[in-house]
Amino acid sequence: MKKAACMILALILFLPLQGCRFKDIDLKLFVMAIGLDVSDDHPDKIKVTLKIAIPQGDPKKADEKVQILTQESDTIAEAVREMKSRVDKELDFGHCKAMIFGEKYAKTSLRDSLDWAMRRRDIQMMMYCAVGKPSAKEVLGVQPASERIPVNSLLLALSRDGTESPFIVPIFFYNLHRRFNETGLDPLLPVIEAKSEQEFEISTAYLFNKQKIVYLMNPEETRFYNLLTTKNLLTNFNVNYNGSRYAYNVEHSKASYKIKTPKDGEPYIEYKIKLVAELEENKTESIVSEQFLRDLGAAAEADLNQKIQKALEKVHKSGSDPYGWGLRYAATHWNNRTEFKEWADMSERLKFKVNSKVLVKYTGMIR
Amino acid sequence: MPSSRKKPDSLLESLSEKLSKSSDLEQRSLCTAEHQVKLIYLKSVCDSATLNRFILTPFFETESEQSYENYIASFPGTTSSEDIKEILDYILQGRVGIVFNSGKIYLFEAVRVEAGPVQDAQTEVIVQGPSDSFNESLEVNMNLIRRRYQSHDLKAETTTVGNKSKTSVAIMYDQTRIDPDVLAEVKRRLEGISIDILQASAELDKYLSANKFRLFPTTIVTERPDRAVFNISEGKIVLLVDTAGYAVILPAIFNDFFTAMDDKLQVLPVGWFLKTIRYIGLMMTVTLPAFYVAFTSFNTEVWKVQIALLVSGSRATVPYPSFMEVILMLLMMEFLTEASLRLPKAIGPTATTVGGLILGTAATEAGLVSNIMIILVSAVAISNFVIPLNMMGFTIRVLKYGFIFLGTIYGLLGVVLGMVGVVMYLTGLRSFGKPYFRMFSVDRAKVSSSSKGERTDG
Repeated sequence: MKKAACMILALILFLPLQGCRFKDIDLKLFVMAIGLDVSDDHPDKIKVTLKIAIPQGDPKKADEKVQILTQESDTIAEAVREMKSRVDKELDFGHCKAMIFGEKYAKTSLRDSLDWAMRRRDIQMMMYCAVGKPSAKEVLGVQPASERIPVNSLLLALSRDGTESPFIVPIFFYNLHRRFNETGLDPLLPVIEAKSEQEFEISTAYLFNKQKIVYLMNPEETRFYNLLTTKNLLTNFNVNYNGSRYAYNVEHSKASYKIKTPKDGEPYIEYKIKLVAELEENKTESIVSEQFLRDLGAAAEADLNQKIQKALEKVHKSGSDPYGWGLRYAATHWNNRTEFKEWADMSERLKFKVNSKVLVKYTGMIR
Repeated sequence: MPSSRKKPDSLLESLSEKLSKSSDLEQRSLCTAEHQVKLIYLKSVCDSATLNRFILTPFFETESEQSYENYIASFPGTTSSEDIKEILDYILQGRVGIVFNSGKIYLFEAVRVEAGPVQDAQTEVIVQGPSDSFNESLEVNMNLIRRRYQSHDLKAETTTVGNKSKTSVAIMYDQTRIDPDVLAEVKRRLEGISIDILQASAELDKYLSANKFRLFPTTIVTERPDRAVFNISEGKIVLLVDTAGYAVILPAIFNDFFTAMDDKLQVLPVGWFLKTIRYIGLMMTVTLPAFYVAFTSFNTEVWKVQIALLVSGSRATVPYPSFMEVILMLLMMEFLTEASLRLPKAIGPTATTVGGLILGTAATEAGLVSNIMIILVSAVAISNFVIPLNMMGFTIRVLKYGFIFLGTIYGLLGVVLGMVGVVMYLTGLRSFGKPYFRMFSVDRAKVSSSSKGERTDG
């Protein structure tokens, strides 16, 4: 008797812990992506765009149905509340997997939207963030022909689950938030450009300092960023050798760097890159020999060294640190009070050295 | 107690008085010129062929009363008694009372046992291995065990349970492997049972358990002699109930209920795989419906987008909340199982077809339940039947409703809460003093390597 009473009491005490209210799934509208823009008419207002998936009863039918809602208001929270009165079912952000910032909006400030998303309990931190060009609304309006679930094509591209393009930098929301707050590591966001109603392109990335956009990485720089930060990047590079053009495909890639502060000289960062590659395109009709592959590798090394060094210098000059060099320096030095100051001082004089090793090992399927 | 010696007539009178109004009571006087005896027995429980051959015919062939008395007394099953209550019990058991002029009464065993032949196991079918099962006769059942366990350490003690039914219950065990505390506990509890009628082994299981309200069976009820023998070799006690056709094995642990007898016949990895399958089936059948409710109504973000949209779409026409949907469909499934259980074999498949296929398809097409729900219910039903022992299967069937309740009120938290609760409950449970949730019944250190060889041929 006492035991039963205890159990019932325990169950009642657990009631507030359930988190959500009982609401059936068919009474919810799933917001798949949020877009944030600056209002066209009132520059101080924010324009929130929600892309909502309309569920299909018959899984055999291929067509997707989408509802796109746009609302302008002073704050994001207010805009979402106002949108609630425009739909019949409860808006659910549990499946929101992408947050797109309009280019104009991204140039002002991202902080307030990050704060909003961080505070809401139903928005997951594993959503992908990106900058939309020309605006977030237009990016969300893109509906590729190959898409079956709303926003899925965007997600597949951003997450590398689908296409594995070397020009896309996937940035999770938690990562972005961290980059905005961590000293020595700066945010960057991939740029999604709406080409037409059915097509988008992601090949560049914006670099931020802690406040605003400072630099736009072009596709090649974006690819170098990926090469230097991810292992075994799927990509190819072109190389000029003996007056004609060759392309090699990267099988394995590995990159590491060291920050060196020699006593009698300028501080520099030395990158070591190791690529194992195969020849993918040969415009000449010459026979490929082992010696030829070795020479091609050497040419590719020289080419990469020079290009990557240039790219790194450009990024460094912009004042943003997406690679996290500052964080690495701080993490490997002991004095907490002075290390960032030291870093800021030597940052101005920082040089880059790139030491790449390209091993073109295979000739492709031709033997 | 009045002594029956020297007063044969008064003894017979009092016996016939006790057994009055029994149309099957037979009282006979056998007379020749030299001697005379009186018979009293119940013809419904006595075998008339035995009676004719071993009592009537020899009577007319023997010369004197003394030699006939010696003849009767020489039978192994014959006893003699003076206590009138005991005599009555013997007669009710199926013995023939033979009263001599001297006043001495012999009770000759002529019991007629109506039990079918040893048949194939019905409820615990295995693919390969022995297929015989216990039947309703205690003697046959003991024979089935003795034949498989030819050791002088195998003991069989008999007691009776039931004030009216006087059912004999045999306690069989290997005295070298048994835990004496458990044996003493079992005997104590058997003596403590005070019921009128014992007809089934499962009933014994109910009366033996210390805790009246419990969720899980703490004894195994089996119809397979090989399982009984295997468990005896693992140091457990087997209770055989006369007239019941099933044996009770105790103490039992949780893992025992997920062991089929052909696991040991398989190659080792296959055996592991089969056991894993069963545990996965257990988890699925218990938690799937609850997870469905939790995920459709509370934590929709747990699902992948594709499934969330699919469920949402297929639920669009369903007029009631998710837990109603689940409970309705599960109840339908329970009805189906119950109905096909009791139906004659010829109609059984029809009922399942009509119920399972037509009802399921029609319900989804009418939009009363979602497509996903049908898949889920079938998965739950099938995985429930993966559990080899029925007693546990029934428990699990009931348990999932508890989980649905928790899932409905607390969502995902409730299901997790339920799982923690069940594990806590299981760890607290004892089967005759032995921890129920211990995963292996044999203390491997204690069993020597030589006995391991013996165990495999059980």
